[in-house]
Amino acid sequence: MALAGITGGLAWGSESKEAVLERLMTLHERLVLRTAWRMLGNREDAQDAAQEVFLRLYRHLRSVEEQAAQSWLYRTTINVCYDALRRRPKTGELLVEPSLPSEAASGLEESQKRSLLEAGLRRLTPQERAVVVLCSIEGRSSAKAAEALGVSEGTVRSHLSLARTRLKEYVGRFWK
Amino acid sequence: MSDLDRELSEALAALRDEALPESALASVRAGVRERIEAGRRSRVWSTRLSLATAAAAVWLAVAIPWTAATLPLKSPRAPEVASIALSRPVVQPVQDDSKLKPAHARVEQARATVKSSPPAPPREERTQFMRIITDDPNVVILWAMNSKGETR
Repeated sequence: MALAGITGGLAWGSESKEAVLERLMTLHERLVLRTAWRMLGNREDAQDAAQEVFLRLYRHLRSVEEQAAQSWLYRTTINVCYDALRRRPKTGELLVEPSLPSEAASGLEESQKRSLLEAGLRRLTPQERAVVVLCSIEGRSSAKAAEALGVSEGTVRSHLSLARTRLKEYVGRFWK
Repeated sequence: MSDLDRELSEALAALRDEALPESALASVRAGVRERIEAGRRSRVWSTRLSLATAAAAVWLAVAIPWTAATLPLKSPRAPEVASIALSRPVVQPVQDDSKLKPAHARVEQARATVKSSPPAPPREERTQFMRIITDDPNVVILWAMNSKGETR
């Protein structure tokens, strides 16, 4: 990640604060939106969360270290998503299973597999979902995920193992 | 790793490469810019309000003492000094007979004055002396009188 003009935090030197934010948004907007989308399960909520993340980045631009910028964004995105999930009404989320052909396995199209996987992700707890998003989707190591989530590496591994077992149970009914 | 494990890992990793709609990204950017601009406008107005308040406070701090110093105070009026037009003293010739008035006559006059004064409240036995100065500086009459009015 190349962030020019950095001394300590994300110093912008001759650049305005807004210009630095624009540059950072261009670099990281996909990462933030994708993570929020997987965490929250729908586009509108993900867009709101991504906006909040970048506004927080704008406010804390001075204190964000260059090397930790990506971790900071992951951590902030996950925290913003936790807040959004907490605000969400408990009964408002309907866990509707995607309509699939009765016989499973090789007959499933990629889009159907993806729908099943997303439905399976929605059945996980927020903590399990965060670990799956960071480790299995974003490809972060357990250590990096632990750093972003503010938990121990052992906790990450434990959540990941449990989450994958539950996902396999869910999608296995259709994929096999 | 079982087939299902591998398949799950591949499917999850594939989610990372899924293209995000450009409209969603543009919406995020626009929303961020709008909220920053709104925050800036709000800050500008709050700054202006703060400055106006500070200016008003400074103005009051300066104006009130100045007004107090310059406006005439309704202080209590100084008492008017009575002015008496003094006429030129007229020197009248001294009558010789007053000088020649015998001392005992003046003593009698003084006694009459003392007698005509209101009776003094009862006092303890105490002798008062009255010194009567005569025209002659070498002659001084001392008149002793007790509280009962007995004189010597």
